[in-house]
Amino acid sequence: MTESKSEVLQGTLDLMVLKTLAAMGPLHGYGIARRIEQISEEALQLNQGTIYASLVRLQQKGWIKGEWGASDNNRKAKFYSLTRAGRKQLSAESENWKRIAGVIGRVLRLADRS
Amino acid sequence: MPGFLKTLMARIRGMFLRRGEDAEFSVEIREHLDMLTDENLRRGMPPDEARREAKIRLGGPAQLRETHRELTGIPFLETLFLDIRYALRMLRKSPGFTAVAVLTLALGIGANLAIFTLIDALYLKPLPVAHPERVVHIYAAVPSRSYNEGFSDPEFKLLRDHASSFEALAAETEVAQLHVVAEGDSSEVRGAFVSANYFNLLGVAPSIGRPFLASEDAAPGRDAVAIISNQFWKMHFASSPAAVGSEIHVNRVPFKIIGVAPAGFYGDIAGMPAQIWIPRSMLGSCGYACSDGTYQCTVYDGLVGRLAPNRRPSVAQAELRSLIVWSATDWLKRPIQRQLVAMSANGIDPDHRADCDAQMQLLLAITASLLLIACANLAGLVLSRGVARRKEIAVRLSLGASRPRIIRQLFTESILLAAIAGILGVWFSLSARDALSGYYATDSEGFHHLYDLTLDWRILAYSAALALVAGVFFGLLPAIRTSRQDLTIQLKDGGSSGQHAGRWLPNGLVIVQIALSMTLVVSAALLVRSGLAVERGTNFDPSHMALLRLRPELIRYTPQQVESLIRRAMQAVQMMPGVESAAFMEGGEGLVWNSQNGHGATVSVAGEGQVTSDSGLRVQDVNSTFFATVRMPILQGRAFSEQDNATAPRAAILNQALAQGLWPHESAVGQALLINGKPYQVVGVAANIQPPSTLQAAAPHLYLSYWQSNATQNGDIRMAIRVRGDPSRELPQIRKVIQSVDPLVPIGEDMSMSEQVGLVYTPVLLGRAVMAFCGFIALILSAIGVYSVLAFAVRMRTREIGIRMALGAEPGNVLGMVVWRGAKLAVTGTAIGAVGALGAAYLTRSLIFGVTLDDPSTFAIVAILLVLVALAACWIPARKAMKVDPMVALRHE
Repeated sequence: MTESKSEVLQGTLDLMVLKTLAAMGPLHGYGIARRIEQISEEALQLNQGTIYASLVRLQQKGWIKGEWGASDNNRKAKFYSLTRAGRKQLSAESENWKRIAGVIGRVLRLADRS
Repeated sequence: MPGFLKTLMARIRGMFLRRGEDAEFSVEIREHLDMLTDENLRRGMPPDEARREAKIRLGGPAQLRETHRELTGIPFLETLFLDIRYALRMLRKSPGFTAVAVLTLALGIGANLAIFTLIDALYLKPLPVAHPERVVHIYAAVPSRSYNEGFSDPEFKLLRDHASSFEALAAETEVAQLHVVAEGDSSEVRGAFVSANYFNLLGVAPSIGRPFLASEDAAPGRDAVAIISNQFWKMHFASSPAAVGSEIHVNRVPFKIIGVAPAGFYGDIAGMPAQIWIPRSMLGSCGYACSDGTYQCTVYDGLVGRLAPNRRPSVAQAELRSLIVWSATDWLKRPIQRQLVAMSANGIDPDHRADCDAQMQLLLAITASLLLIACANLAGLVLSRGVARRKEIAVRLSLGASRPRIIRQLFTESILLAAIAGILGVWFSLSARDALSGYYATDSEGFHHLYDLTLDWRILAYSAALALVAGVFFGLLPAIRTSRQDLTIQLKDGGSSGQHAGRWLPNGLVIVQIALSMTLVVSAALLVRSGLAVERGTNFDPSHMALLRLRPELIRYTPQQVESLIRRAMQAVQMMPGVESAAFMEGGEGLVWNSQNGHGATVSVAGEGQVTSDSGLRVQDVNSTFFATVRMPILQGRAFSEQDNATAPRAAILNQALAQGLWPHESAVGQALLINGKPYQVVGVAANIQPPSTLQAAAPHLYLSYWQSNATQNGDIRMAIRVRGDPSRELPQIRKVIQSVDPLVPIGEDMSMSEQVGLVYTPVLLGRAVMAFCGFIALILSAIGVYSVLAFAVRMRTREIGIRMALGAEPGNVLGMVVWRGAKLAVTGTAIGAVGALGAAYLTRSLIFGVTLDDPSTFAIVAILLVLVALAACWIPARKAMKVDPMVALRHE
């Protein structure tokens, strides 16, 4: 397992989870996974279990919190929602992500032109 | 890093909520799986297919749970807890092994700790004062001779007023024995004359009463005030507050007690607790004025300084040296170069340090060897146990445990053993401590020392470090070895064929143990013989002799009073029925068999060179019965007689060293010589006294007839009394008889000559005690070592032995095989150990008396002893091997 690669991927997934929760409100693990798959227009086929590692990390950092509740068809499920710190973190991370994406885009365009 | 901390806190919480969290997560995963299955069903998949596909998309529940556990807890700690629990279970399962291992190691650690407790007390314990790290002692040292050359009063004032490195400087003079009468009891106690700022400088406030006033050391003889120690207060005043303000007599001078020092405060030199403190201006009044009788030349032993904040002792020392530059002659016009030294005040006084250093190095080397033996022994035990557990380990490896994981598990067991042994070792060291401190309670000059041997954090830290190092030492190698195995072989034949295990490691460990034991036991034997030689005495007979010191000087007797006292006391003692003969001699500094006894002098022979005190020459005034009473041989000429009195020509007896130094080629008897300028005639040559170290040559010594020499006739005298029975039993009687002759005279330092010899030769006797103890333990440990390795080898080779016996080997052959292996190990170890013992004997040669370093009989006897012990240790395993039933052994699989 190469550390740098997994960190980037972890970070990406964490950001997507945060964004999903910000957009959709409280969701359980399945809901988050489905949502990410739908948003990416099924281009991203998640191993849905990896969501849980992300959820643990985000909880430990205090950016999301989980509460038990009942799902639509009355199943017991743990619903995750953003905390205030998580909301702040999301906006900071989004900015950061856009900047990096912009830089990478420019670099790639540059590379294309030459 | 708050983010990191938050995660850590969450993980710690996770660790303790483990069960609940795990269950919750399982529910969460199950629900997720159900939702995925429902989704698939909605898409029209058949139920089986829907479930299968859901599992693929989610991932395996077991792996998910494992990842979750790793993320929510602290895996390292959790594994550690698991390992410790498992280790405890394993140790409980084999109580015999655990007991032997813990006991072995605890003995090794305990012995080291006991020595460290001494080192801590002698060197490391901080003074019981405020901010001890800023307190330094300042000495005027003559590096080749001693630190305590002392300061004059003007020198003290110069340094006090000009040295900017110090917040304050105090002067002090230690007096080993003051004659103090308090509440009717008289006693000889150690005390100190100090400058008035002494207590303030140390930051020590009297528990009751007050410290000295600044003016109280200003005028000689004016302020007769004293502060007493808590101990003195308890003993003589029963801790009554009324002590403050009451009167005591010090050397017959009345003093008023103004304060009591707090409990635990003993002054500023470790091991030399003072009982009473008096202003330095009272030195003269108590009889310690210089020979010219003026306060100007008063000498202080040393100065105590409190460093300015952040000032290093070396910087302070440099400043002091710039302030006083002593020229070729000092203030007494002696041609000596003194040098100022400022050093941390912790620890014993520097004059005794060199001796103590050597002593401690020896003791540490002995106990370290013992610990090494214990570790080798344990490594052997752990290794055999590891092989016995090969099947268990193979199962765990095959179930997927990684090698590092197994090593960690085995290693945890060793560290746990070491930790238990470390705790037990602390307990052992506490019981050894009192035995050891006895050797330091009195020095060879008869002065009492008291060291603070209480347990402190340094000792505990040292114990933890020792346990850890030992654990690594005996645990790591076997753990690595044990974890390296071929699974298929282990699981197939149950690890019963020991052939591929490799023997060099267990054999090597046994050889190390036997070799070190040989070294220790031979050294112990040499020291035991030295101790006997020392106790027997060289050129005198210390048995059945009682000693005591009369101190008329303390009560200011005139020479006439002293003479009358001596004559009456001698007569009364010689009349006692239990007394064979009695002698007396001048008794200033030190005891009879100390190189410092007597006084210095310059001896010259007409037309030849001089011998001065600087060469170690001492002169001692003795009476006519001296040589006969102590049984010191007169080699040539005659001993003193009653006729060698004040009116007869002056007679001198030289020891052999001095006689040979002055007249190497002719007889000394009949020669003339000048002693301090006065003419004497040599009438006899006496045998040398053995110095406390064999590396020292006998010092030149000169005996004069007491009634002819005027050197110390108002001074103290010592009596040496040969009795018929036990001297320590006779001493109280003798004291009583002397007190009936003169009830006033203080009597001190009464002890048997054997006790005193023991004090002079403390290094030999202490070395002997520690060496003998460690040697004995080492012997037992090597026996255990040999036994465990052979017992193990027999167990591993049961099948092989069974086959041999099935093929017709006699039980005798099998016995021979086992014993032969043990004998080979024992002989190899003994041979290596013999070389080590030679080296050890050479290193300790200063302590080896009356026997050569390579004494063949000692070496041979110890070697035979060790081999016999090793063979005895072979016996049980060998018998076991003989009793192997071929059928049982072969069917065993």
